[in-house]
Amino acid sequence: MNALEGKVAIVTGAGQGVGRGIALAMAGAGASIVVVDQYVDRAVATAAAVGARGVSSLATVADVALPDEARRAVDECIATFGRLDIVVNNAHEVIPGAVLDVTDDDIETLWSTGLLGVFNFMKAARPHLTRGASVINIVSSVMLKTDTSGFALYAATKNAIRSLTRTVAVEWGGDGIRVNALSPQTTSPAWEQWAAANRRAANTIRAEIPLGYLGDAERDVGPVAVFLASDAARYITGSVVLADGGRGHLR
Amino acid sequence: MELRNRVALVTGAGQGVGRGIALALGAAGARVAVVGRTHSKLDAVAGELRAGGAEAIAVVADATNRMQIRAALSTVTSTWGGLDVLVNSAYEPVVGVFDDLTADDARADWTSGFAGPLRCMQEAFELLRASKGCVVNIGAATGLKPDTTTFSFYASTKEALRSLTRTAAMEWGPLGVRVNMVIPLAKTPAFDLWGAQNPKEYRINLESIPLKYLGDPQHDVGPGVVFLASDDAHYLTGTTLMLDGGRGYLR
Repeated sequence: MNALEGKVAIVTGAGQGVGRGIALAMAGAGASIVVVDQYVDRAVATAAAVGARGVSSLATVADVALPDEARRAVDECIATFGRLDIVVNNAHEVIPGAVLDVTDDDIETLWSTGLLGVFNFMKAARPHLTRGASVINIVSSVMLKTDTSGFALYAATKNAIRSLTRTVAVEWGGDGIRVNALSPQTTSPAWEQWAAANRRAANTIRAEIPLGYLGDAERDVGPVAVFLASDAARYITGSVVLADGGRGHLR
Repeated sequence: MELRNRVALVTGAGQGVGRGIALALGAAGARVAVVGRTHSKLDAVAGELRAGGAEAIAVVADATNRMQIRAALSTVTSTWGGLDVLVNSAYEPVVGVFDDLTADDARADWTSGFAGPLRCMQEAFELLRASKGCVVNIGAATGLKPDTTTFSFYASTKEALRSLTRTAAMEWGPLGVRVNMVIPLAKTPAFDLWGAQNPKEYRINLESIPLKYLGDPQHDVGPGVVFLASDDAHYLTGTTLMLDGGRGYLR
C-alpha cells in the first residue's frame, strides 16, 4: 500500500499536469514531496494538495535550465528532509513547430528546459542518491511516432532525454541507482488549452490511443511512476515505460 | 558518374568522415564545397578533389553560426548557381562519464551536433526545394547501442539529430526534398585519438565488427552517401542507413 513510505521525492514541473499528478500519486504512496515549479502559486498549491494526503511537502521555485537553481532545490530538500530517494524530471517547455519555423530562441528553450534541465537535476542529486534510489525522466510518445511533423524540437529533445536516460542507467547501475524514462499521455490544463485551439489534431491524437481515452495524470500515470520508483521495480533500469494507453504502439 | 554536375556542400569536410564523403561525392561527378573552420585542411581536401578531376571550392565557415552558414551558401550559389546535396558532417563531441561532465559540456556538444545541422538545414532549405535536392545527416551507432557508457552527450545529440531527420523528411517530403541519415563506422583522426586513449575498448570495438575491418571514410562510407544523394535513392527518405560493417546489428 505504502510503496514509497519514508522516501523523499523531487518532482520538477509539479505545479500542474503530469508533474502534479505524479507528485500526488507518490504522496499517496507515502513519499514526502519537494514540489519544484517555475511559478510560486502553482508550487504552493500542489504542495498543499500533497500535504492533504498526509505526507510532508516543500514548495520551491526553480528554473530547471539553471544549474545553480537545481543545486539550490536539492540543497533545500536535503536541509528539510535529510535525504533524497527519487527524482522525477518532468518540467519541459513545449513549443510545437515545423523544422522551418524553429527559431534560435526555440532551440535554446526546448534544449535548456529539456535535456539540460534533466542533466542539471541528475547532476545536483547525484551526491545524495544511494543504493535503491531512482530517477524517472518524463519523455513523450511523440518521439516514437513515425510522423513527428510539427514537433521537430520537442521530438528531438525527448529523444535526447531518452538516450541520456539509457547512458546514465548503465553508468549508475553499479551503484544501485536506477534511471528510467516514462512516457505519459494525459489531459492537463496545457493539453486542454492546446486541444481547444487545435481541435482536429487533438481528435487525431485521441483516436490514436488504443485504450480509447486520454489518461488522468494522477490515476493513470501516477501509479506507474510509483511502481518505477518503488522496490518492486528494483530490476528495471534504462527502460522506456509507456503509460500512454498504447499510443506509442511499441514492442 | 551518377552525380555529374550536382552541387554538394559538406560541413566538417576538412578531415575524417566529412573529408571521405567529400572525396567520394567528387569522384561521383559532383561539384563539392568543402566547408569547415580550418582553411589549410579545407584547401588540402579541395586540392585532392581537383587533382581527381572534380570541381571544388574551400569555404571557411563555422557550421553552427547562422550568418557564416548563409555566407557559405551564398558563395556556393554564386559559384555554381544552386545546391543539390547538403551533408552535415561537422561535429565536435564531448565524451566522458556523466559524473565528470558539466552543463557547459552539454551546451557545446548540443550546439555542435544538433543546433548546427538544424541551422544548416533551415538555411539551405529554399535552395534544396528549388533543386529537389536532399540532406544527409551523420548519426552514430553509439545512440543505438545497449551500453552507451561515456557517451551521455554523443549518443543523445545524435539521437536528437536522427529524430530531426525523420521530422524534416515528413515535412519536406511533399516538397520534393529528401532527408536521410547515415551511421558510419570509420577510421578517422577522432576515432584514432579515442582508440589511443581507450586501447581496450578500441580493440573490443574493432572485434565486434562482423565484416572484420574498420571502414574507410572515402571508400566504405562515401559510396553510401553518394547512393543516398543519387536518383537511385529517389524513394528513400527519413531512413537511417548503417555504413558500419554490420556492427549495429539492426533489423
